[in-house]
Amino acid sequence: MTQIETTPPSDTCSAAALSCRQVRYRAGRTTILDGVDLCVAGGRSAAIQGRSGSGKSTLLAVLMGLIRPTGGSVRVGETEMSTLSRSRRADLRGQHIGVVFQNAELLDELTAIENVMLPALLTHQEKAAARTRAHGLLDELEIPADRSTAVLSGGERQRVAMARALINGPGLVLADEPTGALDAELRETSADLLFSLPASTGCALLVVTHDPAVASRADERYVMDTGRLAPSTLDG
Amino acid sequence: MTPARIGLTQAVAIAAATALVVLSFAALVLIDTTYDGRYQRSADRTPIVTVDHEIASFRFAHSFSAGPGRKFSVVYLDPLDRAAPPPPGLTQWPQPGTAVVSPSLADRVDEIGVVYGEVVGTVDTSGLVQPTEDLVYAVPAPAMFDGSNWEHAVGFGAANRVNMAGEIWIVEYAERVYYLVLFFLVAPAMALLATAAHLGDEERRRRHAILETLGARPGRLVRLEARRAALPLLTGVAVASGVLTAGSLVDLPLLGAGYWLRSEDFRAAAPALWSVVAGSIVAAICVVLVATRPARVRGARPRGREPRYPGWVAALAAVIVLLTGREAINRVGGSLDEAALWVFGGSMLSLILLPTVCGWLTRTSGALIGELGSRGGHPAMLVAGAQLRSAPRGSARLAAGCAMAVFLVSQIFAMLTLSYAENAVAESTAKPHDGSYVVIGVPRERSMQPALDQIVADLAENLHVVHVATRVREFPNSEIEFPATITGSVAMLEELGLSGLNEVPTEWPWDEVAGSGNPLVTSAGPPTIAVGDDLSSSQMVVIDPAGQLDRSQIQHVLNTVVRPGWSVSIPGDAWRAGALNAVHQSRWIVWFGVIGSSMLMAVVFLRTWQASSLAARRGAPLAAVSGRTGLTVRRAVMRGAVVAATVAVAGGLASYHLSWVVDAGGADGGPVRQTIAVLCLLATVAISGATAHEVYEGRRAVRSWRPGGERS
Repeated sequence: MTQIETTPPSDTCSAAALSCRQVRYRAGRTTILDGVDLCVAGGRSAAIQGRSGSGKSTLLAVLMGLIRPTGGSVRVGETEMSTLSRSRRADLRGQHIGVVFQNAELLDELTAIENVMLPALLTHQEKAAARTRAHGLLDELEIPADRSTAVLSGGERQRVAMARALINGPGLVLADEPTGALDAELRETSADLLFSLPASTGCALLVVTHDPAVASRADERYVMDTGRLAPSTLDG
Repeated sequence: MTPARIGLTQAVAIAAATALVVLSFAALVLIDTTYDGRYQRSADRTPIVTVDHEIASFRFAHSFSAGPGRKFSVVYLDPLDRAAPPPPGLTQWPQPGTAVVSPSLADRVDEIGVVYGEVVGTVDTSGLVQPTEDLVYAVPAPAMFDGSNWEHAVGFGAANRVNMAGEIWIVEYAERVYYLVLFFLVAPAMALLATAAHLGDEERRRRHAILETLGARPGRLVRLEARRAALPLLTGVAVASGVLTAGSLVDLPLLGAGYWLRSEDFRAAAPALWSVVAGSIVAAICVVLVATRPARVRGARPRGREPRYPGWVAALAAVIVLLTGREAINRVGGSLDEAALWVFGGSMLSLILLPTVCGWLTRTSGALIGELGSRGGHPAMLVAGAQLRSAPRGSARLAAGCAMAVFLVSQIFAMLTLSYAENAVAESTAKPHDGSYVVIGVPRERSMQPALDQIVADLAENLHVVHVATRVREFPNSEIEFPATITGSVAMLEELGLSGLNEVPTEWPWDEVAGSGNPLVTSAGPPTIAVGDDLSSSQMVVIDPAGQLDRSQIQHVLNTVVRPGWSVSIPGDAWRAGALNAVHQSRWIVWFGVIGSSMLMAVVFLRTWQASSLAARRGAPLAAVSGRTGLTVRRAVMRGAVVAATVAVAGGLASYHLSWVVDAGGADGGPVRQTIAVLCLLATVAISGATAHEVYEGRRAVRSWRPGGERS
């Protein structure tokens, strides 16, 4: 049984790559997020676990800026995200946030390198430089750059998604069940890669996962339950 | 289905729909210019009448000739100055005793030659209102002159335009065509474009979600979609522009309508047409951008529920169809306008309710199939039933689209049947007299008595000739109608059973000759020209008791005696000519109806294509895991069967009452019923095609399905 213990956010949050205070979200009469406090510093990782329907995906959507919280504050770096327009939030996401999904969510009509280059092109970076960086990332992850992503294996697709998340050098990487669709061996490899990012790039990493083994790699672990977030007291 | 394949299909659909949108809007512009062009060509050949006979360069007289299924204009010409310009379309005046016909009458030159003189050439299409116009220019041979029929003219190109094309409806009610074009062309074309833009919605939503997550602004997504749609849109505009350009170079026929779009009318409309092209592009871009706009992210909020499709709406629809149909039937014998209003009102309400009716039928059928599948342990029935019950929207939309198409086409066909019925009744009225009686309008000038005597003498001896005159005396506040007088030789009257009797023989077309219910007075003597201020009508009736009358030969006799020839008609001709106009009008409605229905069917097909691809993918895991790919086939077939049955019940039955209205209107509703059956069959064929597509997609999806993630 998971024990929930609520603690106020520490003062170090003011300098964190991601910090939220009292974030609330309601859909109709249903409260989905109920005063969530969270901060993740650069070079650190955090994992959120929780049952289905506990509000994890909604919290991630709020942190990505896809939806605006009903109340509270979400800061990415120095920027207060919750007050920005939809377009400004998209800009902020493109420049400062990398995202990895469970099913990779690649555009199958594009090649691996084109998928990786997309965030750079969307933030108006020079095409040649973007291509060079994408090549470097894919070489590092041992993915054939010009192959259609439709023919890649699950592990390869997930690594392409990670390369895509890193192309703009984000200060914050958000991952939603990044290993959920992989087998045990690939899960370990992908998790190794993902959790090495804070140390290698200095970014903050927030992972939402069901998998305790994956969550145990994070520096800080939280549990989400009925819209509330609390540090987890369970060991790996 | 791969994103590339979806994208290609969408591009082709958008290109085709854009071309249709542009052409539909162009049709709106062309209505005016083609009518103006027709008026102008009509004016160009209209004689400039003068009362000063000294300055006249020719004389003319104009009449119609109506035969079974055909009505054409005859213009008699008598050139007083052969150096004067001939009518447009002729290089010189025809010689006396000859005629020139429009190309459309080339197959009737023998018949026309007997009546109007030897046919020596054809009228160039530049002198015709449209290339298919039926027109005869005849220059009669020297004969007795009937001055009452001639008018003098100084040339062609009168400012006051006279319609000589015999297309009265087209000229007088041009504005009605706007509604036809808007209803049958513009609206379906826009719907088709919107449907084409909605193709691959699911794929597009996923693409937008990914890109937005990666930092794409909504405006960027709009630009992305605009760029994706730009090439198909431009292709469609180019195709439409090509058609319009072709139309400005060559005359284009509108098959079945007996109408040609003249290249000169296109050229005259060029500035307006290109403005319309530009406007259509803007409209098309707006439609595409609205259809592909980025959706708002709704977080964890539940997605939109399926419509409820309440059963009471279905019951209400049935009641409306029955009540309005019954009211229309009650009124069709009296006021046709009131009957039409009831049919129109009922049809509109039925159209509005049809989607709900189809939804209710689909969901109810799904529940029934699911229950049967559950009891019998049939997985395909269980799954198909559950899908139809819980998510009927896709199937209901398909059924509603087909049912509405069946309903609309049935309406058009019912209107057509009533129009053709009038023509058929006119024909059947005229036909019994064909061969037995002809009527010749006789001028009221005593000077023409020798001509009348000559004609009677020239006619075959076995023919009876009588003269019928009707008289009406008008007073300031009333009029007195005198009995009609029939004059003929005693032997002839006796043979006709008229001697000493003031009763009209029942086999005579008396109503058409002398007016309905007019009493009769017989008078012995030869046919005589009647005169007098109170003379209402003066007609010569030629009777062949053997029923062997040759109308052309009698007209030939008239033409050789009198200039211009008095025209021969049979009782019912005027009605027949009027009915032909109705048929002409119906052809236009058919033309618009066919195009509009085709576009509607294309909308249905595209929606089906999209829905069946989605259904195939959703059904793939079950079939793949169970290893029973036949499940996909059976599920798709059951879904198709439910949709086809829904179309038959909703579309077929809703349309069926129209056939009762047609029956009540005096026409035969049988063909309407047959048409409804054929339409339902066609809809079933279309649905079978969609089902086959779903089966194909389903098998592909089963083969490519992998656990743990959906692949496109």
